[in-house]
Amino acid sequence: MSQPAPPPPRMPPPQKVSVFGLPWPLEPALLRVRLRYVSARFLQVPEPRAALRNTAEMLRWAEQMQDDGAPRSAAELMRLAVEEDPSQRPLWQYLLARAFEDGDSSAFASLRDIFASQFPNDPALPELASMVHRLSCDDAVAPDAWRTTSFFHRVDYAQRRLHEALLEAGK
Amino acid sequence: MSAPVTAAAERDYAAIHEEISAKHRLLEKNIGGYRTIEATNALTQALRYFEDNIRTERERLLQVGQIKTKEERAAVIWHSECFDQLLRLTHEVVLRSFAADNTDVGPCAPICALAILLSGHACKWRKFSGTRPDATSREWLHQIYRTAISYSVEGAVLNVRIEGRQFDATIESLYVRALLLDRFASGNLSPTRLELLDNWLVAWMGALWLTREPIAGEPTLGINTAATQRGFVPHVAGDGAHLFLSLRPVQRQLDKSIRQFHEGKIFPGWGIGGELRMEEHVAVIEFLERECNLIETAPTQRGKRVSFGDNAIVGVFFGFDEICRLAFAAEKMHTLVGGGNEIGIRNAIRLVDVSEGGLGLDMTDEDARHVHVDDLVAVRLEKGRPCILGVVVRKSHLQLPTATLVGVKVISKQPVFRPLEHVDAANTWQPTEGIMVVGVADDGYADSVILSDKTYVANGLLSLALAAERYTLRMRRVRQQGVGWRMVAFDAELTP
Repeated sequence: MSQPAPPPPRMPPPQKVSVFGLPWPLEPALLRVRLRYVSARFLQVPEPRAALRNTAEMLRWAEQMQDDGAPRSAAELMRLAVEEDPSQRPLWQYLLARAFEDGDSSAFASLRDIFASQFPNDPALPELASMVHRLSCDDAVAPDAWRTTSFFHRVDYAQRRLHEALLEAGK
Repeated sequence: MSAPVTAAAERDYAAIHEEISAKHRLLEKNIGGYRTIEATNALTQALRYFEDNIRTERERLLQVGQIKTKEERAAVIWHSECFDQLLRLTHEVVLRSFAADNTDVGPCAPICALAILLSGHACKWRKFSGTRPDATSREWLHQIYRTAISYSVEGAVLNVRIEGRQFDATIESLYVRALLLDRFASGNLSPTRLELLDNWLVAWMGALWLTREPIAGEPTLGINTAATQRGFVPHVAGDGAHLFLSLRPVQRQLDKSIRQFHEGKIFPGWGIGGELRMEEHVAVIEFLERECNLIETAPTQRGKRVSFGDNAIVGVFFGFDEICRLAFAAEKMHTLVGGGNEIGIRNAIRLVDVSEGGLGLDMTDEDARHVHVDDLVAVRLEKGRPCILGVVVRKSHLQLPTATLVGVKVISKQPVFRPLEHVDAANTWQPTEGIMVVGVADDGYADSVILSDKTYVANGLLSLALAAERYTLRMRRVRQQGVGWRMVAFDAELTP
């Protein structure tokens, strides 16, 4: 009597990961620490899971954090938000613009690749490819549409002029 | 928060203190007769015994955060003195064993590593105990590192024990950790947060290397091992530094640590961090980000910096009203006589320590009672120079004589005092006063105005004349506030 064939090896389920490579969804205990961290770090986000999916609110807070001299915190919040809901295209744009302004070519290229995988037919992709090349130049200047301030739609002539006058007065 | 300590536990601690002090006295008596390798072993064992036996008490003291009782203060001072004593003995062994004619390289690395490790511990505990900064210990730190360099052992990988855990470290990475602790201990971090930061630095040690040339285009801290009074300072060309730490690896380590929190893990996963509230971890992240910003902007600020010595008498003004009335007045400009008379401050105030982002004021306990966290202060460091504007962020007892260290976070080094107008409840323009604070962003949206809390109205209007222009400022959110003052963001428009 022939032995029945052994069952085929059970393949482990494919590991799901977030856009930034985090195991996703997080286990409940880890998720609790993450959410606790977000609400301690960003006091304006008491209900992180809902707030991180609100694109308009996220951009408003990014604007405030940038104004308060905390652009790195703004970028961190945007990363958390796109991790939570990767379809928030304006937040990707903000992150890309931030990486360009920081002159961080590897971060920019990596973000651009993840953005391209999320939005494979996005019309901005060719311009982003050219920006990768521009970043290798010493005096790379972002196109107007890719400056972090351009996301906030504000006219800043008087603000800038007052800033310069205050700098002069403080000397 | 830890549980209150029982009388029995206090007695146990006292017995342990006595036993450890006796061991250290015996070690001090005998160490002169030991060979280097024996002395290294004896000191390593003494440190291990000391740390193992005080761990519970140390963790309790650190988790309390604010030292309040006499017993707690005495315990913190004793801990600090023990680390200082072990450091002094280790330093003596280094000097004795490695005179110019000694060619025996073997024992050099372990004793230098131990001495530098102890320098970091001692620096941290001096801060905890409120002992005034000690220039000698920084001189020793440099001297020990120079010894290690002269024997070419600064890159040797050694196994060191920190927090009961074994780490691979080089003398260089221990030196970087000690220098960073020295720099950060002069800021406004509470003991708990400084300990947490030290855990992070230890976890990052593998990535912290010194270079012999600054890396072009990267913000860098520089060190001159021959300049005994100086620690890590932001590097600018010609400042005499000959070893450099680029800020980028530190920032990368910080980013990686932040990612750990995103993944739901408490970084570094050992030490006191697991017991602390998330707000403590976040405060350390914010402190490091602020330090990184200061280091990045320091070279451009250099021309505006003032020079002054520690322990100098400085002029200090307290509260928005007094600052507006006196701190910017021409007759006060060329004197270091401060204010504070109205709130009951009687004695001269001494500067204890200073960094780019903060400074410490040494006040008598009696005077310090009139000063509170979140009070606005203006400090004139030098005659004829404008005041620095800051906010009180913490108060802690200094060691004898009865004095309090008042920690001040600098808001602006070049505040601009200007008469303003504001729209009152009757919708008419009325004169008022404000202090303009320039922010870091070139577009001006990080600028603020400091006002009396009576003047601030959400979305209210202010009018400011400056440099032949008149601006209308619409007040936005409050960035920071204390009793009697608010620091407000604004949107500016040119008034036709």
